[in-house]
Amino acid sequence: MNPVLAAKISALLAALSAITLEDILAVKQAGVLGPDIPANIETLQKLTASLDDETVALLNQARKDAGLETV
Amino acid sequence: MKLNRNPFLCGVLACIIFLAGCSAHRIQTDPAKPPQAISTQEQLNYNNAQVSIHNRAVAKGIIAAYQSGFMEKEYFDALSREQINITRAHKELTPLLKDLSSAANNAAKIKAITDKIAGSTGVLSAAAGIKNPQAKAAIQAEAQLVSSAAASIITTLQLAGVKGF
Repeated sequence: MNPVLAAKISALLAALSAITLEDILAVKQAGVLGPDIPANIETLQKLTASLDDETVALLNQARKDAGLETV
Repeated sequence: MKLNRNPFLCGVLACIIFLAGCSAHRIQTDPAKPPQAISTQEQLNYNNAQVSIHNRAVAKGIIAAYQSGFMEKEYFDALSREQINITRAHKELTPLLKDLSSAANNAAKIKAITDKIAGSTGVLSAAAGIKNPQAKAAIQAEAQLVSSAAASIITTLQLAGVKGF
């Protein structure tokens, strides 16, 4: 295999592994709940909304970097 | 697929098995008392948070694949647009799950949104357009987790006996 291509594949797979690890830690962290049920629900609601905002911002920034219109 | 010869795919598979076994748990503050069980509303909102967590991972994976040169621009355009649509639909879902009466009053809307999320992740899984098979498998696995988490929202509501589910 072309060494440049092999290096690019390795870098991509390393990035995907880091994303998977971050995903696991986020799921574990979200599942740790305190004694106050309404506070837990509020925290989970805020976490979910902020993650959705972050996802849209990430995608739109990447679209902008790629010369695509933001959605 | 020869998983035993592919450590990366084995790792992804192990992560999925690990995540499938994840559940919410309460920190015990008083060792004298048994820990309180996780309420339906907490479980519901935990499942909903997992949709966002896995959806963010799918988005990051798609961006990494495109920026590494393993996805054509036209695929990235279509998939990132679809991802944004899923995320915006999910954002409408979250406040409807704040309590069970709100969920019951919005049953049709909740089902429509979760169906949309599950349907869209199916498109993502089928048409990732990623040239590297290992990267494609990793992103498809994450997309499947989004779909499973969305389905678990409906299952939790059904098990709780919430009307309309």
